[in-house]
Amino acid sequence: MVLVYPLVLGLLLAPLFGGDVRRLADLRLRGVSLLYLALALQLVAFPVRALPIRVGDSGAVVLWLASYVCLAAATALNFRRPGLPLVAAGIAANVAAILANGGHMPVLPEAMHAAGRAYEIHYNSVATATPHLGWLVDRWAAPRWVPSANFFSVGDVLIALGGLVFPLAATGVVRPRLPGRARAREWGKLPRVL
Amino acid sequence: MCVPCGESKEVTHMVCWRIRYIKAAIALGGFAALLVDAGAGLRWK
Repeated sequence: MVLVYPLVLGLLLAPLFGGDVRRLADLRLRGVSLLYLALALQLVAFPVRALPIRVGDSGAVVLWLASYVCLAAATALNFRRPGLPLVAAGIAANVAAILANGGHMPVLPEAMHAAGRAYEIHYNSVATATPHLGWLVDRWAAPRWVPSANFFSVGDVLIALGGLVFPLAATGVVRPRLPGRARAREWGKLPRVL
Repeated sequence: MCVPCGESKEVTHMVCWRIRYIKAAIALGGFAALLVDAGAGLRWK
């Protein structure tokens, strides 16, 4: 949930840097249904306690990785949008760490200690002192003042940056480097009458 | 047709704008879902 914060921050900052939030009315993405499908898959894989759904650990891993296939496809469809290449790089980094460590995202003991958490396996996270691809795993604890945050990885940082750039571009603060006609097609034009 | 927006659908400008905002909200929600889902380290712990 924490990675929505950069998106909200970008939307709040946009007017301060000359962005026009009315441009969001013309925001369109390709493959949006894939994004919602990925969300549904993750909700089934890691259900909240109120839901009467339980899948085993291996089932959760399969569903989780299937959700990443959906995310990767949707990201590829929108790759030319500002911010999406960063998100794609973050996804690649996180998936590499997950695949290299048996389908779970490792978290380093130092990060767990700093975040005040203690467990061996919790949903998709596994405590490991010596993970494969150690630079890509959850290796830092988020500041305590960030609500609902705990650990983050290099991939999470890239995704957060993409999540910040996207709304700034969508509101006109960051101009995509596209030819004029392509830019107009990508972001839409402001309406003549508001 | 909505003349100000150039939409070809048979809608008034007000309805046309509601459709635009709904479509935009769906897209923005999808992007938020992308961020939430892609962050392997933060969402489900």
